[in-house]
Amino acid sequence: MTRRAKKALALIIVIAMAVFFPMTKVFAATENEVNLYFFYEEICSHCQAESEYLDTLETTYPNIVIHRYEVNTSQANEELFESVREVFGKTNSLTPFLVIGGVALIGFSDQTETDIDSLITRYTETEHVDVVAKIIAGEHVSSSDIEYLRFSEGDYVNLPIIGLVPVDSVSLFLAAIVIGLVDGFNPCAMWILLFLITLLFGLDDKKRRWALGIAFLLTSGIFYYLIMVAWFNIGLSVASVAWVRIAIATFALVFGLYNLVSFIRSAGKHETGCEVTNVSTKRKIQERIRKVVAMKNIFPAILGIMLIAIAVNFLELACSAGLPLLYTQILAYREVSTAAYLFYIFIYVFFFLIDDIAVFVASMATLQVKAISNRFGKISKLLGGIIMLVIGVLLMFFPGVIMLG
Amino acid sequence: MWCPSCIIMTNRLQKIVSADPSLDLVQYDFDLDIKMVEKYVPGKILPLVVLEKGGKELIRFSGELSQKDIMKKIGEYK
Repeated sequence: MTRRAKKALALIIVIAMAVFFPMTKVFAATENEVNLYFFYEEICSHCQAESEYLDTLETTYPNIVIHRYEVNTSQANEELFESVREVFGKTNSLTPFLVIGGVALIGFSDQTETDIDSLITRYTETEHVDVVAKIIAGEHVSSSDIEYLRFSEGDYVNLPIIGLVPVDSVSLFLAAIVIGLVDGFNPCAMWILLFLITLLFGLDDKKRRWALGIAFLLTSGIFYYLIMVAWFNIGLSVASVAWVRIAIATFALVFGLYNLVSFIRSAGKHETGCEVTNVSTKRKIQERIRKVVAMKNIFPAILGIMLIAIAVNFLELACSAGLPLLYTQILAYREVSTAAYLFYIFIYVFFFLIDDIAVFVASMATLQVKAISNRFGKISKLLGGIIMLVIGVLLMFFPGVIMLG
Repeated sequence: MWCPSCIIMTNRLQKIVSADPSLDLVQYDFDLDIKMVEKYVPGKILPLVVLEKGGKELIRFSGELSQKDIMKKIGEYK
């Protein structure tokens, strides 16, 4: 595997975790009492070690109740163990197997000791679902009853640069950043910004240069934002329709494959450059921009630039529609609140525009046009294709992963 | 100028030319210098770099190349 492929694979894993890493749900249970369900075998040395550790906890935490099940000597214990493993999706896991609330801890190590302490503290202070109690009572255990060790509702994760983010928002938040960035390096609409920058250099008035450039970037961002909001709302209204899900999954798979094939073809050519397409349309747009930039009055010029930004982003929408469309569908399936989806889409668009902002600011500050190599566009196509394929496969075959997290 | 690869290659070529007085850089804009575009027929990938000596074309290459690769190509014909 080449270094680039390894980097791409690592990024995909991060993206997949960011999008699909399940977060917690909390429900009511007995106040302050924490039940520990310990499944073990007499002959297992790790079980013995864990059992001894649990003994010490009984004096430290008077509110805990330890239920011990030897799974080799009792048919009933073995059957319960099987049911528990099945509920947690750990049918092949062995002992020691400890369940606290909605969390299963498999094996025993120093880390397990820390985890047990954390969970007891967490559940002593907060209400929770007792999954094994529900199994014993013959009640249905839903996927939202299963929790994960590290986080609980109300916890925050400290992300680099961004700061504290509520843990139940992290997956969608990180997905907005990563997919927005990958989408942003797609060079579809970059050409127009570069062309505008070269024309702005011809202007003597520094304020005018900045005003026109910012107007272009802001309008592009707002247009993209509104398009994504519209897609989200359409997605929300059809989220429960099965054939729509299949259609979106098919769209993701087809676009994903198309991007991958395009990447492979361009990689085979060993030639990175700008593809000459839609020559007459591009020349017409360039002519309009020249006229707008040359306007004497700044206000009609800004208005003209804004209209051009809308037109160009609209024309180039087909080129980069895949990722924003799929991201808004994920938001729709997660049924996030109005404030949340507006925020996530804002984050997406900000990171989508960040390369454009960097090119513009660097060019204006140095008065030398700066460009990002088309190689990044190629990599963006590859990453975008893989992300679309992953989302397509999940939507088609494992929709629960996306819908329920 | 709208093509990122053209901007990057322009910077690299200017560096090479400024360091070698035997070289001269002439630039044609794909959208403005239509006659020259028709003369050289760039194909589907920009930028196109054509090395000429005495009006005779020696070599041409398209897309982004590193400074080292450009110098290597030019060096073969000097």
